[in-house]
Amino acid sequence: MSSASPPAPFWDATATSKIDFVSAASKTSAKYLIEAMGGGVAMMDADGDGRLDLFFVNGAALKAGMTATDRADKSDPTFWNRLYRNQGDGTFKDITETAGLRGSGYGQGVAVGDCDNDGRADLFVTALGGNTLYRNKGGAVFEDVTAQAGVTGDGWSTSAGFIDYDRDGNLDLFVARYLNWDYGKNKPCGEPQAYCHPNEFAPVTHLLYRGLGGCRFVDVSAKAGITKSPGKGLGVAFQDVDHDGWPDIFVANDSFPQQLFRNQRDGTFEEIALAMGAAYDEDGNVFAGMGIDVADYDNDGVPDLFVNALANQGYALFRNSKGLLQHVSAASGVAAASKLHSGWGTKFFDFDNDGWKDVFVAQGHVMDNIEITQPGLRYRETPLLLRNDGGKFADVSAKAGLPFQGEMAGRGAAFGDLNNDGAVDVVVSANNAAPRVFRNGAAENGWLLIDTVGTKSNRDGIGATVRIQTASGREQFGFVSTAGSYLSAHDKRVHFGLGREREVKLLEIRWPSGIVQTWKNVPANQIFVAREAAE
Amino acid sequence: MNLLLLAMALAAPDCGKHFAAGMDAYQRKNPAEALIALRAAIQCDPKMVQAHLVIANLHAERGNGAEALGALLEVLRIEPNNVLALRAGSNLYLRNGLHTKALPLLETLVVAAPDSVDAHADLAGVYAAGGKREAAEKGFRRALELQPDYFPALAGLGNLLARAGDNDAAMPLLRRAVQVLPAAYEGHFLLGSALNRLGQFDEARAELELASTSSGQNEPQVFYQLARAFGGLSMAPERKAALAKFSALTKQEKDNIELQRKAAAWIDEARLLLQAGDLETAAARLELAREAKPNDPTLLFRLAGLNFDLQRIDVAREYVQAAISISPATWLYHYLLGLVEQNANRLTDARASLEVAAKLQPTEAPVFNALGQVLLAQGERAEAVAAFETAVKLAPADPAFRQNLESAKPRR
Repeated sequence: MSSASPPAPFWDATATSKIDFVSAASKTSAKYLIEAMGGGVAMMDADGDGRLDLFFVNGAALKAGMTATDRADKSDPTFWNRLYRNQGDGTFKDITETAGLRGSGYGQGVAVGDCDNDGRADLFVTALGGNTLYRNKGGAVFEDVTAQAGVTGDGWSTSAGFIDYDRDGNLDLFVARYLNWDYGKNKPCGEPQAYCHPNEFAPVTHLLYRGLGGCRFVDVSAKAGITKSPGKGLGVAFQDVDHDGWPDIFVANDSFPQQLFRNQRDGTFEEIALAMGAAYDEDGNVFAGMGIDVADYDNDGVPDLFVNALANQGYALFRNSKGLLQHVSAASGVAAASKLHSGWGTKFFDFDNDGWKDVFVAQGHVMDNIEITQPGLRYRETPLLLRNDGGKFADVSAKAGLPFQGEMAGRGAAFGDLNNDGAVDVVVSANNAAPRVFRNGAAENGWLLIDTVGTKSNRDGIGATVRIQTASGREQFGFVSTAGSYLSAHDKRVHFGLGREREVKLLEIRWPSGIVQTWKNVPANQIFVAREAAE
Repeated sequence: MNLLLLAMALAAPDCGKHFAAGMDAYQRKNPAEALIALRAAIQCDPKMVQAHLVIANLHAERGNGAEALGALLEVLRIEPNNVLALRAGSNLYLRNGLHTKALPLLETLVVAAPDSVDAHADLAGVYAAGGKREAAEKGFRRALELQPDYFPALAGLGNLLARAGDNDAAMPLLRRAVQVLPAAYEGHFLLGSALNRLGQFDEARAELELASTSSGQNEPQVFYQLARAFGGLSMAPERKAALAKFSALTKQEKDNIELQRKAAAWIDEARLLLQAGDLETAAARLELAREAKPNDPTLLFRLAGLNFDLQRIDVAREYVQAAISISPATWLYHYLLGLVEQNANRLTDARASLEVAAKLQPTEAPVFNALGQVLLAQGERAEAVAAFETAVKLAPADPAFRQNLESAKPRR
């Protein structure tokens, strides 16, 4: 049962954090579709000091009349990607230049994972026309290892994530791609010119790279069966949807059926979203899937799926039941709360530590002139916070603190505990504007933050499933992943809210190596480092 | 039809002669003649609402929605509360999914005709599509007050309430809708969908099977809901079959959309080929586009023009006649047909077409020039001279028209 605690107050820590980043979309009269997409944000410990640093992906200079082969210019500092070091006192310092992370091309998404198992978070940044892998050399200094790694890719990459799909201890990499589009393919859409609907462009295949260790990869997209199912991917999330111990891949597609690539345990995947019930909304219509997350919101032991959408479509919540993903947006209260909103960055997370995973959605319409064409809708929107009360969701945004009153063209969103106080904070990127830092002060209820360290498995423990049981008998489930949301990467630590309970009676981790490890009577309110046993 | 009778009754006496001629031609199923007469009536009395209404009707009957809408909006400019125009205009917008544009017309209509049950239900439907739940509910309820068994309102309100989770109120409405109109698949579909949402899969299956074997047999969403019901009943093979049907129907829809998209690309390509002077390939591209858009008068006209330039006279005639049957009031089509017939030396037909073009567009000099040439070839010298004189008057700077006039004048 849910505790009756009121929504915790979030406060806007953007100014006090001294983050001066402003995303630069470089809007043009050509209305290139990419101008509308925004960039991602990552929470990662870049310097290994135990505190989450922040990385923002930025655009590049565009001009009308660009051709297919043009690469947008990122040389002006206005367009650099930015890394901010968490100084531990609530402030952040821009260390982009020393970190070597200015970037190239029109940036989109970011993925975080330790691809060489050296204990340091490496970075993968997607862009239009080619992606970049940065190996962390230590001390928040990165080197571009894209060419050696073999992960440049091409086309329009969006969200990406590290996953160990073959459970060999080396992180693999999945990259969603959006549309068969480049500057030369831009076309007239509307009078005056507006951003084209994705229906104007063909779908493209996603990319899967198998990790060989040492941040080297080989493209297995075709061999693994990923290229059999093109999409219009914007969001990526991983989870073991069928509980077989092998991670599956979810892709949020824009105005195209959603995708679920089931891991067939032999290095190949089968796209089964339609068969599972997750490809369409409850009426069998496609919707504009943008942000995505997969987690067990109803604490029944199997992961559920959330995909947000464009205004007038309603966000899609799929409950995993009887081996199918049942669309339950209406019954759960999600449909009513989201009908007129457009969602991007998102995550299931327990903001009030009551033991039920809530939902946050960064919002804002894609069309910057939507107020003219559809007066009931807004380009800049306030974010949405849905509180989970035993499996039903209520919109508590209005009571969640001042940051929820501020409108923004929200895009990426990363989630993690910035000050290690047990309350999950949120950082939201905005299109062509400054990001916002939502600091969460809800530490009244108990919590546990689990930091997995793989030994036989990959060093991050990515893909490990976590089960906790408290004295009341309640169980909760987690999955180690930095992927999800939209273009963004989260704190890899698994967070649980414990309500009034002060200890976890049983903590069980199923590592990707197959090792199952348990801990008993783990006290609440701590960051628990769970190191994988030798065998 | 009601609209026409009303229009006849309301015709202004001064200009009634033209209007009556237009109505007569309309009833004789001669749309071109009807349009000419009705336009003459409007020229005589620009505020003759009834003439605009009949013109709208003529266009709508031929699937020419844009021109029908133009005529209806003209009526609304003259009489903003004209119930016939409000209703017909909103219907045209709704049929094309343009809810935002239908909204102001419907909002005016429910005030102008407060007892119009369909107006309240249509408006409620637009509100529902736009997420205005309370306004939608109010509209549907008003429609049901006026007519308790009005199917669109029963189904619309039932669906609205079911989606909002108010199943106690929704289910009786949906069940009543099915009773009122058992042959309509929509009722069974909405009831089945609501039952799916409630987890009552057995009954949902029965309703959805009814929908899938009636007029809903080609609706992908029916099979999607049916698959959901089978899923709830753990009937895996049946679920798989329903999803396969859903996929096939969805693909069919998508293929049609894709074909339209390709047609647009072919038309663009043809335009570039024309600019480069490659008429043969341009015509081939337009032929491809026509397969996707067989009833697009502009495309048919372009094809006619191209084939005329390629001297494929019979093909050109066929295309321009097809364009005229869809859009009989476009002078350019009649003009082209006149030129085609002139080229084929079918002078009587050429003259008839050019005369229609001249009536529809009395300010186009080339039309009168061509007419003069045809009349001259027919030996109607005096009439030919008159036509050339009009052409010269309209385009005094054109030496060709003047030369034709001089040549046509009787020599002393």
